[in-house]
Amino acid sequence: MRRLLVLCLVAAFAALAVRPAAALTFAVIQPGQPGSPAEARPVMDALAAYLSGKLKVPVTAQYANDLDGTTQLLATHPDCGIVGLSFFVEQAKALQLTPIAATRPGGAARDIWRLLAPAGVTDASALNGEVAGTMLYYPKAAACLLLGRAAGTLPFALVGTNNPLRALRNVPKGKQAGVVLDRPQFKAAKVLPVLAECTVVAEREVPTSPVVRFGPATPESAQLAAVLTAMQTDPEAADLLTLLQTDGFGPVDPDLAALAMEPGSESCPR
Amino acid sequence: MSGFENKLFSWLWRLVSGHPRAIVGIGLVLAVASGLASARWLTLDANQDSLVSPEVPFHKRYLRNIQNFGDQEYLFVVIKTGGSEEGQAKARDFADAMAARLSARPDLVRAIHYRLGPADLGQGALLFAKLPEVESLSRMVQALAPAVDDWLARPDLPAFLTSSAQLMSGGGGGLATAGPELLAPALSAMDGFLAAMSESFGTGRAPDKPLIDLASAGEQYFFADQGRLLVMRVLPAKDYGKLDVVGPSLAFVRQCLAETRAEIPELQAGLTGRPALQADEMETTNADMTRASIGAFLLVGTLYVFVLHGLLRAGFVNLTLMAAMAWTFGFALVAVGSLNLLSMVFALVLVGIGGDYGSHLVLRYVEETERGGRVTDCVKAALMHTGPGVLTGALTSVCAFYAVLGSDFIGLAQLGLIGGTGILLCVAAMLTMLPALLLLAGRRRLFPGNLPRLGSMPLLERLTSRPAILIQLMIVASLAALPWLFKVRFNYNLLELQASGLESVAYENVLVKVADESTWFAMLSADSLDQVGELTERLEKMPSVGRIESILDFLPDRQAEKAALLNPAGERLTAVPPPDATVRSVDPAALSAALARMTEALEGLSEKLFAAGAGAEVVRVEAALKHLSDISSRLAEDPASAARLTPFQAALQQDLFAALTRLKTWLAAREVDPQNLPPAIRDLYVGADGSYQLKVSPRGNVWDFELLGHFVADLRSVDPEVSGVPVGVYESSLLMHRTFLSAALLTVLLVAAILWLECRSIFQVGLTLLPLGAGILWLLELMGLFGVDFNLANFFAIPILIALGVDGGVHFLHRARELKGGYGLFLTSTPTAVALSFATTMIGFGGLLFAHHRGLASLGWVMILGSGTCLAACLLVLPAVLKWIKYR
Repeated sequence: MRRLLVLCLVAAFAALAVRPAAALTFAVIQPGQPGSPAEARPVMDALAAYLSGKLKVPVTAQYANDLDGTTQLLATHPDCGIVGLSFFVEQAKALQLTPIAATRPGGAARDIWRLLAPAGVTDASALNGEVAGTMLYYPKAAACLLLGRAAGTLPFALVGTNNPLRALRNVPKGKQAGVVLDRPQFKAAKVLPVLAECTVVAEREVPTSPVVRFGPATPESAQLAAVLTAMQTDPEAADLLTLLQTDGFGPVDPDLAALAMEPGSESCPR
Repeated sequence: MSGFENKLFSWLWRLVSGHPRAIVGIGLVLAVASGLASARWLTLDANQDSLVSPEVPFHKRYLRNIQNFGDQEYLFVVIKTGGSEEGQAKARDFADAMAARLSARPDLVRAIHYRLGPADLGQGALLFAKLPEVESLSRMVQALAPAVDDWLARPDLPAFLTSSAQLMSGGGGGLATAGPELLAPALSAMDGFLAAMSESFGTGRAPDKPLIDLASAGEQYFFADQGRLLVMRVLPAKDYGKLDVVGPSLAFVRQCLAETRAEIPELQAGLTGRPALQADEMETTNADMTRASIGAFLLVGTLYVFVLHGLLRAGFVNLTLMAAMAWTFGFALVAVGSLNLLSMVFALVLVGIGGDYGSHLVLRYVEETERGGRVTDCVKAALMHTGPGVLTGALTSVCAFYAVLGSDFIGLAQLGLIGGTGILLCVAAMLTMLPALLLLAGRRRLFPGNLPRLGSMPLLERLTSRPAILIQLMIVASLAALPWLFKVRFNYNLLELQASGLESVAYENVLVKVADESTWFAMLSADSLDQVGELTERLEKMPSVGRIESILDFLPDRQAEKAALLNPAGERLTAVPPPDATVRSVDPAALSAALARMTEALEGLSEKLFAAGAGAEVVRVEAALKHLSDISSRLAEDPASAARLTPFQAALQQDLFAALTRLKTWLAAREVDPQNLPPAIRDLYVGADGSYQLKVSPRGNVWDFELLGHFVADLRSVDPEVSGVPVGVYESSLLMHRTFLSAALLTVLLVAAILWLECRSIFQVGLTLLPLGAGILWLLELMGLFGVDFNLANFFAIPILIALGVDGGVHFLHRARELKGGYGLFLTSTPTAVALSFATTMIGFGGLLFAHHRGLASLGWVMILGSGTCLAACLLVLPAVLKWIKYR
C-alpha cells in the first residue's frame, strides 16, 4: 500500500512537471497612436510569434490605441506590455505596474516632449483653448510630465488625439491652441513647412514608454525582459523592431518610479 | 680621308659629274613612283596593341584575353550628382536620356552599361533579392492575390484605386505584412501614379510612360563615390584602319553628351576612359605636331633661304629631301607594309635631320665659290671634303635609330628601321642628287650673281684663343651645377603627359582622385566557379585592390530557398487573361467614391508615418494627396469629365496585365547558372573557351606608377598570368624605359665603333664624343635646374641628341684636320653649318614648347635644351680643346 502511495505521489509530481507552460498575454497600450487595432493586427501577430519562439510559451499580443480599447484590454488581465508614458504615470500604482524595460524610439534612451504654439506666442501660459497630442489621453499625468503643474491649473485643456499631424496643421490655422509632439513626431515635423509657422513654448525631457509587468513578478516576466533587451542584437528581430517603431529595448529608466501618481490624485508627485 | 672614303667619294664624283641629268631624273622618277605606290598601298595600323610584340608574354596574354572575352575598353560618361537625392534622380534622367540617344546608332555604340534592372537579369531576377526581401515579397504576393483576383474580375480604375486604398491603410495585410522596406517604393509609385492620373485627367490622353513598369522597378544605377557620381560605360565601335580609331564613335558620344547637357543643364557631366584619353591624346598631339611642323617648316625655310642666300639653293635642299622622303615611304611599303602610331612620325624626324646634310654640302659649295673656283671644282670640293663628314654623321644618326631594331617594342623598332633607313636614303640623295642639281644650276648660272656672306664667328675664335682658361671655367661651372643633375627623375605617369585642360583628363582625375575609381581593370581567368570564388576571396584581402567584378555577382546565393518561397506565390497568382479589346468608360460615381477612400487611406497613412518620425515619407504622401485633391475637385465640378480618364484606364489595364504576366514568370524562378544567364551578362564574364573572367580595378591613383607596381605585384601573387590594361601599361612603360636606355647605350657604342673604323684612333673617337658628353651633362644639369623630368615622351630625345651631338663633333674634327692646331676653324663655313643644323633642330622642336600635350612640350624642352647644350659644347669645348692640345 505504501509502495502504491509513493508511486501515486511520483506520478502526481511527474504530471505537474510536464504540465503545459502558462500562456503569456502581452499588451501594447498606446492611446493616441494613429491607425486601428485591426491594422496593427499583423504586427501584434509577428510580436507574439517572436516572443513565443523565444520564451517557449504561447504568447498572445493585444493592441489598444484609445481609451475604450484600453479599458477592454485591461479587462483581459494582461501579464506584461508596452504602455504609454502618461498611462504609466497615471495608472502605475492603481494597476501595480512594474517597469521591466524601456523602449528606444529612434534609438534614444529618453524622449523629449515639446509644446508647439502658433508662431509669435512665447509663453505656454498665454495659450487658450485646446492643446492636442497623442500622449494627452491622460492629461493629469501629461500636465505633470510636460509642465510640472496640475492639469487643472492650466489656462488650456489637454486633449488626446490619434491625428497628431492634423493637430499640428491646425495650430497655425488657429483651430488648435497648441500641439504636443514627442521626439519622433518633432523629427518628422522638421521637414514640413508647417513647422516654420509654429514655435516651441515648452520642452521637457521625459522617459520613454516603458515595458511593464502587471502585478507580481513571474519567471516569464523576468525572462521576457531579457528577451526584449536582447532584441537589438538579434537579426531575426530587426523587422519586428521597425514595425514596433523602436530601435530595441533598454534598461528601466531610473526616474520612472518617482513619476508615478497616487491613484485619484490631481497633484504632481514631488 | 681614308683610302676607302677617297675611293668611294671619287667614284661618287665621277658618277655625279658624268651623269647629273640622269641622276636627278632617276631620283625624281623613283620619288614619284614611291610616293604614288605608298599613297595607294601603304596602310596605317592605329591599333595601340600592335605597338608591342605579340610574343611578349604579358601582351600575348592580353591579346588572348581580348580574343576570348572580346573588346571591353569602355568610354566612361561621368555624371556629377552633388550627392543629393534630387541630384541622383536628375542623374538617372540624364543617363536614361543619354542612353536613348546612344542607342540610336548601334553601328557606333556597341554596348551601354549604366544600370541593372530585373529585366536585364532574366527569369531569375527575383532570386537576386535578399532572402528577407524574398520572404516579404512572397508574403505580400500571397496577401495581395485575392485583391488581384478581384481586380482581374473587374479591371477598371475605381477598383484599382479602392484596392490600393485598402493596401495603404494596412488592410489585406498589404504594406504592413510586406515589411517597411517596401513602403518608400510603394509611396513613390503611388505618388507617380496619381501624378500621371492628374496629368491624363487634364490632357484626356494616355500617359507617355508605362504606369507600372515592373521591368525597370528596382533598377540599380551605377553610382560611385557614395552616390556623388553616376558612371556610364559605353563600348565604342573601333576602326583600326583609321588614325582616330574611335573617332566617329567618340564624336557621336560627345554629340549625345552635348545634347543631353543642353537638355539637363544643371548637371555637370564629362567623358573619359582609355579610348577617349587616347583619342584626345592623338588629336592634341596631331594638332600640336601640325602646328609645330608648319611653324618649323616656315622658320627653317626662311633660315635656309637666309643662310644659303636665295631660294634656289634652299629649294634644291628641300627638293632633294622630299625625294629622299618619298623613297623612304617606298621603303616602308616594301619592308613593313604599314605605318604604326610611332613609325608614322619618321617624316618629321627626316625633316629635322635630313636637311642638315644638304646644308653642310651647300655651305661648303658657297665657301668654295667665294674663293672664285669654277662650278665643277666647287661642287667637287664640297662633295669630296664635306661628304665624308656628312656620311659619318649620318651613319652615327642611323645608329640611334637602328639601336632599337631588336626591341619587343615593335612600334619603336619599326620607327628605328624606317627612320634609320630614311636617314641613309637622305644622305644618299644629298650626296648624289644635290651635287648634280648644284652642277646643273651652276653651269647654267642660275644662282644669283652676288655671293652670300658666310657667317663666320670671329668672336668665338677670340673666345677660344685662351683655351686653358676657357676649359677650366667650363669644368668649374659644370661641377658647380652637378647637384641639379641629381634632381632629374623619371616620371612614368602617363596622365601627366596629357593636355591639362582636356575633359577626358579632368574626368579621369575626378574618378581617380575623388571617387577612388578607375577606368582600368586587370583581368584574371578561372576555370571553374569555385576558382572564381577562391580568387575573389584572396583578392578582397589585398589593400591595392578595389572593385572586383565576376560572374559570381550575377549568381544569387541561397537560390533553392528563395525559389521555394517564390514558386508557391507564383502559383497563387491567377493567370492573366488575354487582353480585352473592349473600351470601358470610367464611372464618375465609382471614381469619386474610390478617390475619397484613397484620400482617407493616405491621410491615415501620413498620420502613422508622422507618429513614427518618417518625415520624408510624410512629404511623399502629402504630394500624392495634393494630386488626389486636384483630381477630386475637378471631378466634383464636372462629373462627366471622368470620361477623360478612359485612355488612362486602358493604359492601366494594359500595363498591369503586362506587369502581372512578368511577375508570374519571375515567381516561377528556376536556378540561375552561367549557362542560362542573359547573353549580355554572360558574355562579359564567360569566355569563348568557357573560362571565367574576373575584372579587378585598383584602389587609389592607378596613374601613380608606384601604386600601379604594387597593384600588379599583388595580382601576380594571386595569379602570375594576370593581364589587362594596368599590367599592359606597367609592363610597356618598363619595356619602353629599358628600350630607350639600351638604345642610348648601344648608340654610344655603335657611334664609337663607326668613328674608330673611320680614324682607327681611340683618341680621335674620344675627341669626337667630347662635345656630346659635355652637352648631355649640361642638359641634365639644366633639366634639374628647370624641374624637367624624363618621361615616356621625352626620353627618346636622348638617342636623337646622341646622334646630333656626335654629328657636330664629326664635322668639326674633319674640318680641323684641314687646318693647323685648330686655329681658324671659326673662319670657315663648318661652324655655321653645324650651328645651322642645331638651329634647325631647335626651331623644329621649338614649336612643341607651345604644345597642349604636356609630353610633347617636355620633348620640346629636352630637345631645345639638349640641342643648345650640344651646340654650345661643339662651339666651345671642342675648339678650345683642339687649340689647347694643338691638334693636327
